[in-house]
Amino acid sequence: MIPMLSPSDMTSMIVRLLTRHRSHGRTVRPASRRLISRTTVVGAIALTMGCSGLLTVTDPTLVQDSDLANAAGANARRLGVVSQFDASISTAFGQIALFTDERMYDTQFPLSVTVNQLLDTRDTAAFQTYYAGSNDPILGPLTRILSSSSVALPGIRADAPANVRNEYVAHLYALRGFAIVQMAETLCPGFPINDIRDGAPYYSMPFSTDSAFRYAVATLDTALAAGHDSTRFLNLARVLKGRALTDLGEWALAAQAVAEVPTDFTYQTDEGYGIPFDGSTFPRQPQAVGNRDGGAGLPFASANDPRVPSVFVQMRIHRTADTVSDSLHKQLKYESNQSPVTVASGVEARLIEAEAALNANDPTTWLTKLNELRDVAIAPVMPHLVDPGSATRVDTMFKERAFWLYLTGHRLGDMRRLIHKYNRAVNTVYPSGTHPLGIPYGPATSIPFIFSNASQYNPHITKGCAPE
Amino acid sequence: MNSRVVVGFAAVILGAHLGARSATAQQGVASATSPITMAEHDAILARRVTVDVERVSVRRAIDAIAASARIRIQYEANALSAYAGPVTLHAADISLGAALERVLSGTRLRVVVLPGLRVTVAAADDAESVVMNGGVSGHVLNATTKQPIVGATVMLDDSTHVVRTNTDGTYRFLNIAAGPHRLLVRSVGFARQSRMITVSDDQTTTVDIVLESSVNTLDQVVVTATGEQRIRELGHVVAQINADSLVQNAPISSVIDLLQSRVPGLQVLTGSGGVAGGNATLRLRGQSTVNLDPEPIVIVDGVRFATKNLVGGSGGSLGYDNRGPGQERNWLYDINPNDIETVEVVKGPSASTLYGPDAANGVIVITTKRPTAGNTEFKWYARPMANEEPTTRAARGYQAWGHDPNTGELVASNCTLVYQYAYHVCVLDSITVAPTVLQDPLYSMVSTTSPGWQYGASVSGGVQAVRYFLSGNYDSQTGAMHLGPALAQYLKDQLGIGTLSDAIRNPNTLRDIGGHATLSADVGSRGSIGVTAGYMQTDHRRSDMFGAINQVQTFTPGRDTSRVGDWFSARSFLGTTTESASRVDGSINATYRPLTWLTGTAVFGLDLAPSILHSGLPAATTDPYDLGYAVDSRRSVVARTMNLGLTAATHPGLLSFRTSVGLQYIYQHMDGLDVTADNLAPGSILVSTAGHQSVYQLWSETASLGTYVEEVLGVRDRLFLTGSLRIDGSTSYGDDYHPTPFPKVGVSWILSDEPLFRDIPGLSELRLRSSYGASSRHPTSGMKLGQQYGGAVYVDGSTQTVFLRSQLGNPALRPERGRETEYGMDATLFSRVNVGLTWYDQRTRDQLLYVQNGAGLYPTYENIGLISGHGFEATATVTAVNVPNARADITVAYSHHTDKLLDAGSARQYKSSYGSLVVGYPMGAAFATTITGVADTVGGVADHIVFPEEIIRDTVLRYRGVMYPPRTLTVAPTLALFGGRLRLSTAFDRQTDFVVKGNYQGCASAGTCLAAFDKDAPLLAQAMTITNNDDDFLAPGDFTRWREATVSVDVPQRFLRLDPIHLRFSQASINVQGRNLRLWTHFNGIDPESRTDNLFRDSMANGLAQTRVWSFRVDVTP
Repeated sequence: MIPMLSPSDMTSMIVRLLTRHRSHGRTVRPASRRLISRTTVVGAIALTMGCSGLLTVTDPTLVQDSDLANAAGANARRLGVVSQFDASISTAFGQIALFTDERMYDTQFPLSVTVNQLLDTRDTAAFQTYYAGSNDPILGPLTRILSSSSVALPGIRADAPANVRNEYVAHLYALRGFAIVQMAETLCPGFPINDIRDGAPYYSMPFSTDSAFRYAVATLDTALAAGHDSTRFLNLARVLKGRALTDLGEWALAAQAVAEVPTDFTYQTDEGYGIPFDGSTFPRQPQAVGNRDGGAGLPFASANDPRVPSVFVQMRIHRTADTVSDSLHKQLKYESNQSPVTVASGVEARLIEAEAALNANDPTTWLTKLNELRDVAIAPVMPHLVDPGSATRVDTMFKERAFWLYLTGHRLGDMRRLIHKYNRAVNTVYPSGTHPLGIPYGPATSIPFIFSNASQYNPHITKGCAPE
Repeated sequence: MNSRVVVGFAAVILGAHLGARSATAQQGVASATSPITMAEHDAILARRVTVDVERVSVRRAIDAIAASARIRIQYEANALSAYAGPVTLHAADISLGAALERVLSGTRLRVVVLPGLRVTVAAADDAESVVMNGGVSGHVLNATTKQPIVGATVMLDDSTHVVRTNTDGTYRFLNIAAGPHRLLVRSVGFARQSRMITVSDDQTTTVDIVLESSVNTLDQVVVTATGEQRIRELGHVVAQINADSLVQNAPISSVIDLLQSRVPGLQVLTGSGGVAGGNATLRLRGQSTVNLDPEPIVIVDGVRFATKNLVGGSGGSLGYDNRGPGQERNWLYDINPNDIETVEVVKGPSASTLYGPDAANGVIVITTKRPTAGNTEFKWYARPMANEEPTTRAARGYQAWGHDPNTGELVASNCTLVYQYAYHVCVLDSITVAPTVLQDPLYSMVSTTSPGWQYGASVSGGVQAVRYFLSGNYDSQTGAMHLGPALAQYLKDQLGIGTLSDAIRNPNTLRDIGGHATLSADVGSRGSIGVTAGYMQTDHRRSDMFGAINQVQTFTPGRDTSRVGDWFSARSFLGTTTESASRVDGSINATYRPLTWLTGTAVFGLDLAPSILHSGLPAATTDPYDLGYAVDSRRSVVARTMNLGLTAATHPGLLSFRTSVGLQYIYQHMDGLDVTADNLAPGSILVSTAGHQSVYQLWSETASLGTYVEEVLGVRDRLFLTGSLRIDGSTSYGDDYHPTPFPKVGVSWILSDEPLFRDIPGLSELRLRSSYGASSRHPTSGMKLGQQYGGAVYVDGSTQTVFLRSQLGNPALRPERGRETEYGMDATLFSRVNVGLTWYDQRTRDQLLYVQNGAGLYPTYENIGLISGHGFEATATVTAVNVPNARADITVAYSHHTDKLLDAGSARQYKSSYGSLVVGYPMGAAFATTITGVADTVGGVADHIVFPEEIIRDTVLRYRGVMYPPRTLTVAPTLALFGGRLRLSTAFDRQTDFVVKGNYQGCASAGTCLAAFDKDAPLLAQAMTITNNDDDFLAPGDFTRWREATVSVDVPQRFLRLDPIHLRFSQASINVQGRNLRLWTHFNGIDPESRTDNLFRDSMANGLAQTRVWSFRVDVTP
């Protein structure tokens, strides 16, 4: 057993060896032998140091976990997750808008296959192929919200000051709940909800849509339990819980969840995260507003609704095999690709309450809720709706949601709910027939997760999309 | 000189008259048993004394001399009593030896110098009673030039006595027992000479040796991790470059030039073409790693030399230091090739095991010039150069002129066939030749010639006890980039300025100034210590040259600048990038031989390489939205090295043993800070004046410690068996990793020394060799610890500090483990043909590959990959002519390397034309889709106009080849005439079997290809311009290049003696040199050798040909 010396011990020993003077009255060894012995001892010490001291560096890399083990570090970790959330949102919302009737795909060049075209025509098989061997464009960013929060939460719990610790935890759990809700509304059943646990990847079993919503509700309940002293994050969690419960068809519980959310509440992403709804990067290719897309699509452009502002632009554009001139509605809801996007709001809370009233067979409350929004949530106020009658109340409900929540990632969940909770036929909800590019719309009602990616690492994922 | 040599009790005894001997022969002397060298002896007797005695006794006179010399002179009173005197001596400033000689003249007394430099006067009878030995001396000469060979190793009786020749090529052995002896002389670059001699008692035998030039000789000595070793003992091949003579006689501006095309298996990829101080990438035996540094490590005088900022960047990956536009300078340019004595290239794990982590890529061992005792020797050189950019392969560009059919407005760009016939937005009026960057006299961006200067001087000398070498150099080069006069005027007009700055007119310049110093001293009789220090200051301007070329290519005066895609901007020429780097390195090395068979060495080294890069474009004065940018980027790289070693060598009987143990410690630290800023104050490019700044910091710190033991067993000096073991630890290894030993074994068998082969006619040397070795390549800190991004960003409603993990750590990380088996043979036939053949097989397992862990989960690095490789290398040197006044040699070097990724574990494989990772394919594989045809059917007629929808493209990415040349061939003939005073040498390179993206940078990226406008152009050409996909331009890059040519003349002495202005040159040589003289290739781009670099080696040609360099070098020794 080699005794371990401290660096100071070793240093002093080396200094003594190298500075030892000859002793008077003693036989002095030849200089060469002295040097040999000293070299040997110093070498031996160096070897010993090799086992203990030399292989130590103070800062092996720029930022280590220990650097963040303080109050400021805890907040920086939380904000890191928020920045991840902001970045993840933009991608998912853009893809959802294309897949639904909210946005039209356009191109300067014909037959140049892009993922936008595949999404807009719902060519999910080609979409799978397009992303084979690379990251999932929707599941990936949304999972990153989960994994980043899982990595950050232990440090936040350990190092955040007590007065904000629960607030931070509630915030991140609310964002986690959002990610799960958005996955469930967007992706076909059978997707995994992978995560990081104990610092290592955790691979989940496949989730059905409803089981994912219930997982989201449980996650949001954690946020609500932790965030008792943070109104902002509580309201975020409340709206998201109401959204998940609405998706589950548990309308009464949904209304109950959002009851305390004020109508003027909003939770937005931050500016500067590059939302894909603005065409400023290439003026010839604006992000076109959908307009009765595939017949069943809503008239987002032609309705001239102030909630979906757009401008009519005429330009040469190539849509079929021949060169044609065409015109498009360029969206104006987002002024630039740096504009913030609303994630949850009091408007959505009232819409959840309205849908709950509708399903509770209370058309008066339903209509009151919708008109209340027209009074207070937009300026100038919009004309009040009148009861269209029981046959089209659901249509009115979902149109109101579509216009209020335009380009916020809600539309695909709504369209799927129309099919699964309101028993509508697919072709009455989704665009069908022939796309302006001359390509038929596909039959898919949800965006597939990329099977090759999900199954490569997750042994539980052995099949692709399950039937809806 | 009538000298007598006397030996007694390990002392050298000389007649007193030796004191007057010239100090020029202080080296190159050895005696059989004396621990005191001749140089030491001479040094003490050369002490200056002043004596003024009148009629005193011999004893008093000796005392007076001793007092003046400040030494103690011992004598026996009895011996002196017979010579009472009187003695008279009036002498000022004479040597101690001369003074004693005069005092002892006529006596039988002699001077004896004893160990410890004690001087004794003794009776000659006493001394001579033990002297029955003789001596050997002579000259070692170059057979071709008849010039003395400095530093040649002369051995007597199989390494029993070893000396090196002096500056005048002389050597001397003292006190050699009478009888027959074997004298063996060897020197790098020459065939060894062995001769039996007979030494007579008390006589000096003169033996002059003439060495013939040769490449492969087994008795050359190379520097290994355990010290100097003879090549014959090694089981692996080591390539050696004799830089000392090569730099003077070949067109070499840098270490990069020195390495290029001289070592089979070493690829020097100079991708930056005509950029002064540009990038260069080294690969030894291919690339056997995916995510770690693939370059060989560089050791200078035993100290690790950082060649680039490898540990920067993101994640655990290499993070090439891509700061600012242009091509980064390879740090090997920091070493002045004129300071180098030899370069040894150690290839592969089997050879480099003892060099520690990261040596799996091979090792380049650079030994700088060592001080030589003797008269002070000055040398200086001047090397004016002309850097010439070849224009013969310049891509011709075209410009279409048209008008808008609706508005009638001029359309000076984008009037392509698609715009004409698909969008109907342009009607073509005419097509003109566009200005090219190379050929146009007015709009040229590239000058045909640019000047360069290299100057240097060195001084060396000293006595044996203390020797020194000092050198300094200055290097100034201007790249090929200049503004043509019309373009310069256009920029003045556009920018509203009267004079363009030098930075605009010459965006690429390089200035180096450096110095190197070495001081060596003997410590006692058994030790030596050396101190080296070097300094290099580099100022490198490398503005966005390739961007500027593209600007010029798209530039047409009067064009419509309002259209989308028209991005020519005069203002962009105001942007500059300059780097200022200063490098300090130094080392202390000590050697101690406590016993004749035991040598201890210690090396402590430090390498400091800080640099500052500034890049900026001032805000526009007219455009309020054009606010400019500035970058301030700083790097500080520190590498510390400590090597301790102990080697024991014994020769009991027919066997020899060489046992080495050692310890190596390497510490590397990189600190980087980037500040990028915009919204600049008017006229400023300072980041401090910016309205918006962002900061990015880099940091990495690693330390590794390794220890090794090696045993070399020799049998009759013919068969050598080597076995070694090394074990390493590193701070970047995973916490769970337990270091494991890396073994190495080797065998070298000199068949030609076996009795059976000795008499085979024509067989001078024949050796078989084989080795097996394993080596590691350690991960980076980021791979082990994971990575977190930090920064101030706008989040949650305000700008705040965030930290976000971007990569998980891996506590179980292990080093990549490479192992290699090598077989080979070396042969010398008829003393005219030297052949070396080597086969090798590599496998590198535990490859650190990037595992994504599924969508949204953080990636990690894991040890999961496996790469195999094998190859063949051959060198042959044939002396075709060897007559008294002419000698012609031809050297051929060939290498072929193939590798393959055998396993990628769970890492994601990918295919691209920029580098792929696909199991079953080589490293650097290029995959791409291709245009397979054009269906000219749109509109129902074959109109010979290609529309996008008519292009038929293979949608599958298919393997197209590798992006680095796996097969290389160099042929280098040399001719020496008139006794070597006139020398002609040249070299041709051929590289084949690789692909490069060809003409894309020529016209496609600039939109000036004729096929874009001309409906008569071939359909495939039209299709390629429409898709504008650089993958379509992948093409074979095979080429042959006339790499070097030199004519060297030694100025005859009769001309030197003319000396009308009293320069007093003793030697002078003149060289006319050319580099990259001609290119032969079917490649359709500008230069297949000029490519951008990345880990796998991007195959994109960069638009500038390799610079043709003409130089005129003068070397002078005063």
